[in-house]
Amino acid sequence: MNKTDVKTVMIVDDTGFMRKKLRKLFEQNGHEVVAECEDGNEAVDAFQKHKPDIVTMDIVMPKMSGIAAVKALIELDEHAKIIMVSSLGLENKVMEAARAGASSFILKPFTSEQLMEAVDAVFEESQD
Amino acid sequence: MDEITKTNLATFLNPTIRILKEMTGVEAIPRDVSVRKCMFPSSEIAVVIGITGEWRGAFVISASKDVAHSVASKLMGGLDTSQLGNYDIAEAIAEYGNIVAGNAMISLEQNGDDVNISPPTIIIGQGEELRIGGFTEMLIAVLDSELGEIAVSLTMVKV
Repeated sequence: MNKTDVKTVMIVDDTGFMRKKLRKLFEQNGHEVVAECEDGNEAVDAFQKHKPDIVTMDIVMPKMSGIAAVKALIELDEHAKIIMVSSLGLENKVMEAARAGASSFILKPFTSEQLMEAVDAVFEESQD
Repeated sequence: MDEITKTNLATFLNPTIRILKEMTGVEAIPRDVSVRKCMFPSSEIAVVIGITGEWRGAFVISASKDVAHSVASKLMGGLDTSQLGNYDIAEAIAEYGNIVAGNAMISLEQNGDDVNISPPTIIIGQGEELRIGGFTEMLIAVLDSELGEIAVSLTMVKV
């Protein structure tokens, strides 16, 4: 499978500015953004509706945190591919996200190349 | 309790400058660091981020509305900010502040400190005074950039 095939993406971040930025980067790279969510609760609903190939997830969000949302999404689909995209790159948060089931972690700020590399790596791993 | 030092400010100031450059291409140069009381006239847009854990305090990035608009435009890839409202501008600045604080936390963690940050509080206005509760003094550095002045203020104590 070509690792650069079009993927459907769900973006989860409480900041509209970051959701716009991520949407732009994914669309510029040929992927389709199927949902944008402001918090973990919305993410759970949207994940069930759209079943995206990949999810980007912030950590600090209102109502339901990113890590709690990761756990909820993994409960729905143990193969869910979730990339944490956060400015909070503390080791304990990275470990917590990994234990919750996140596939990868990108620290803000990031470049388009870093984001796409993370997407490619997640799909490469799933083929191993 | 340990008092805030210029080293603490540098922990936040360095990523403020680096991330501004990485995200917008804008160079910022700090002027003198000074001490101010924790109640001061706010600039038109201020982002306040709480610090918790082994360190307790607040980190503030503030600027005039015009400067904040320019920074937000750059953060959004040159978008015409006349299309954006105050909230959109403030949100972009808040995210910038959040990223700076998050990166500063990594430095503190590498020093062995157990710390965290609160979600940003955005204050939009003019003529109001900000009061950071529980603290009496802040360190402030003013950054000069092609877009205008950006103020970085910090108060924190080790508990």
